[in-house]
Amino acid sequence: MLRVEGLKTYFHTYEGTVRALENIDFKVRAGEVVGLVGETGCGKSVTALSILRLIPSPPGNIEGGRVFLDEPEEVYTLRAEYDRIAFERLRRKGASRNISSLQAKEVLQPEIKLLQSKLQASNSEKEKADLKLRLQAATSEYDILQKSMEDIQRIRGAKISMIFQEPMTALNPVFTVGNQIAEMLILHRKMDLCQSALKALDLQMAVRAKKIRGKRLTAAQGRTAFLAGRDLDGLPKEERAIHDRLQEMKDDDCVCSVCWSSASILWDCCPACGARLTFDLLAPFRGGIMSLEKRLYSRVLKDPQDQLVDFVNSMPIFRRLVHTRLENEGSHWAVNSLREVEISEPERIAGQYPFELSGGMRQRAMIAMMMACNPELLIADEPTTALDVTVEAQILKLMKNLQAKTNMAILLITHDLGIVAEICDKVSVMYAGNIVEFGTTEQVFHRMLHPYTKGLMRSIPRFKAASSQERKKDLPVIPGTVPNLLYPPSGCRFHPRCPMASPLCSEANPELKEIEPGHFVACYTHVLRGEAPP
Amino acid sequence: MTNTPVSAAQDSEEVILAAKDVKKHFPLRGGVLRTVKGHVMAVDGVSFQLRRGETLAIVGESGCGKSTLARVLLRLLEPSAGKVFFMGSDLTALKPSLVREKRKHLQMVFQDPMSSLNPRMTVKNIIAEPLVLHPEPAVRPATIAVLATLTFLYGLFSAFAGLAVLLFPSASGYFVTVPSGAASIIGLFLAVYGVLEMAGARGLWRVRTWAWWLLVVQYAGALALWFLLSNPILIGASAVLLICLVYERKKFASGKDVRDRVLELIELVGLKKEHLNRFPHEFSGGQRQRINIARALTLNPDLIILDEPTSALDVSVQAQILNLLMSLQKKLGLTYLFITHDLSTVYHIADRVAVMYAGKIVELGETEEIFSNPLHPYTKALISAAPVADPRVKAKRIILEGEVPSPTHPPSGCRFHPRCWLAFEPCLSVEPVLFDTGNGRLVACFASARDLGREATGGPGASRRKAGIR
Repeated sequence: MLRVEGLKTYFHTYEGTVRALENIDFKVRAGEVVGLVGETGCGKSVTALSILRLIPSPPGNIEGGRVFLDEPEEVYTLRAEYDRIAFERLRRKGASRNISSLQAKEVLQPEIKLLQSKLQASNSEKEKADLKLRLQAATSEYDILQKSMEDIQRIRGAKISMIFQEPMTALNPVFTVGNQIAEMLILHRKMDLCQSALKALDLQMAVRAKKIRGKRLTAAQGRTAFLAGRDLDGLPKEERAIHDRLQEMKDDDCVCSVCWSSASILWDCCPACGARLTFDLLAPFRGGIMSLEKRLYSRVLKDPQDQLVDFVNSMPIFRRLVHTRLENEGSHWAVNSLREVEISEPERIAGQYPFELSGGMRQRAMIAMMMACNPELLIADEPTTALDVTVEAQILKLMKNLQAKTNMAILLITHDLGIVAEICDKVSVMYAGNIVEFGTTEQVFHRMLHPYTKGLMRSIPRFKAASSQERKKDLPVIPGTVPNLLYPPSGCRFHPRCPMASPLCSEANPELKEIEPGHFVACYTHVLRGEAPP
Repeated sequence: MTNTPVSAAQDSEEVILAAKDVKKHFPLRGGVLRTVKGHVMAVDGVSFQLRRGETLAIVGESGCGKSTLARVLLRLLEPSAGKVFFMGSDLTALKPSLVREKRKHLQMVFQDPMSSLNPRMTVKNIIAEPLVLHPEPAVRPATIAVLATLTFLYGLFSAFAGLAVLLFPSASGYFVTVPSGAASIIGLFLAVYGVLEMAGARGLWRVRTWAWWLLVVQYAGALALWFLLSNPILIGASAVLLICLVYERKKFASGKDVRDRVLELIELVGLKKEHLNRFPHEFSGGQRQRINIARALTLNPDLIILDEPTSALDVSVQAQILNLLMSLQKKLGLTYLFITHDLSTVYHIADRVAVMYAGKIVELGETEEIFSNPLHPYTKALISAAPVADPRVKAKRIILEGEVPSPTHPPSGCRFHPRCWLAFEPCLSVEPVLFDTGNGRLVACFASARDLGREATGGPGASRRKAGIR
């Protein structure tokens, strides 16, 4: 689903170029949890930010590499051919292996032109489809690094969303949680929101046609007023639905007699019709406003970039007329998504500001926000680092449950190997901007091959699997410190700290090699010996 | 609790630090008149004893009062109630100046290594600062006391003589003989000299190095003056004082001593000589924490309170710091109070563990016993919730509902009961107190008391009796 190839990010600072990422290769399949482990400053977060193109630039710059999102399998197989040609030509020019799609397109220009002309000339549908696929492969169509900023913004949040480490800084302190989730929904799921807003409008207009005055009622009063001697079986379909909704509510819930929906939750106005219940100045104009709204929403549904809607949105008062309903509908959904992340009393929480929530709650709200748009990939950047153990366990359980329910993929960035072992299917271990080992959790934790992974694993104090003799003994440590990426060591970046380093290691940087199926290691000791893992 | 066998501290049973029912309530003010509307019960009745040479870990979630407890123990915060005994004396009853004296033996390492180092001081100055604040030797040798008294008298005499020469030039011969032409200049000089001398005497009384330098210069000047004026008695007096002062030189902390101590410390914590003139921002997190540890060690403390020393560090660096702490403990015989939320480091480094929940200790005992057989349900949940770095271990986790209760309105009865799956009738209303399950193991839980066939008690009086705290 996500395929990162040769990603390379540099930061150009006054002191020199920080080579933050070098040759990052990994893939995330749909429904998979992939962990990205490493120490501080090894480039875990930079990887995530590069994928989303959130690297602050300047000083940051994605120098090369491609990130494919949702590339169909056929295109991938076709692309392998073209890539080989591109590599061949680039090597002649002396370029490195992390090509960007821009470079690839440049060197593949003759092929692309040929394909385009063939596409124009061909007549049969089947041939056309095949040619299109080939063209997509040659131009690296699915590379999100070459997309325009607008396209990227449509991907962010909708297809790939990200949870940050510190929810307090990621959430906006001056808006309520519900508002923020609603904003996200309006941005990315406007169509769905419009549809449900239209549905609510229809309902409301139907009721309005019956000339019931809008005033505040409790649900109990609403029920009697609504039936008012009518026979339940004789009600039309839409009114039947309203009746059912009323039955679901608690007796002292507040409802609006215009639309009969729950009004107690967030505001003093009805969430479905937006009418201020206590004092509605616009009451005489509601009918007109509603028909205007209906027209606008149906226009949005036909064409999201509708000129008229944009025009209305650009004028403050009218914008309010149109947007209130969308916002209210979004808040409804927000409450639902908060309920999904197992927050108790989601209605109350939705109306609170981030600072009123505890750390665990904030992180849940953050997850709710990110899950609201049903992303295909969730990038979780140290989601539980700021949390306590018991809350961490809750959040991890929640993430696992959500993942099982929606079958989304998760890219989990963390430095806590315990969490990785707990929920990840695959792990890639990063060191100083390189991926040094990649494999299933089982492979990396029990048949680790890279000396860095070994050192890392040994240096964790354990208490569950360990015997009591190991207590109070010195922990085996990796000597030295993480290198300064302004001046990374030549060759393998781990070689100055590596107990198994050979002269070759200081000369060339090893590439990831598949040692056993699905287990990749970037280390000469294993590649050269060609040995199978123990 | 004195009959408890403690593996690491068996050789000495001396209690170095004892907390007795320590409470810290922060008042919450509100309204126009800023009246007290309630209290945040950060620490609410904590008692424990720490023996020389052992490591006691305090574990708990954030907001349970661990760090407040550490600050109260050091008396950086005034406790609302309770007592803290450090090496036999009650810290809570001492005057602030005496507490500062005690803190030489009681140091602290803070969680965030960057924010606890002054960014504008070099490493050398950071590590030497405790020596500047607590100059050694703290106890004044008798010789220096005599010297200071004599200097003071000498200064007093000079000042008076100067004044006399200035005001009554005719009568000046009574004190010293001066040439009549230069009387006013010499009088002024003598007066200033005398005042400086008295200031120097005060510094000498406090064994300050600057006083030593001041007086050496002054005595040399005086010697020269009296030589010129050929006053044999005062020549003799100045010469004797100067010689005494030079003889006592090594009683004062010299720049070289400080430098030697700093070098010794920097090697002890595994840093290099060339790091001395750098600033904190030039170091990585692990090195910064080493600087912090070196600073805490400067005055040869007996007890170090470590407040989450490795929480901000990476795994591999954390291992280095833990190794360093353990080797320092072996080398210097330190006692640690280790505050953390990370159970794996606790298991690795601690002799005994105290588990805190919402301002109270709920369980206290030897590390191995606590980890192999946790009695309090909260401890059980905490231990099972910690993720293990092994995909094959698929432990059945106890996942607690809810969050740490608000410290302003703690739940009635046992503070853990709203999240506890074992809670039964007494937990809701009666607050359980620590009771001894034998072997020095203390638990505050009705459910585990029932399981052990013990009668659990409630109420503050019973807690002290049962916990065996005098």
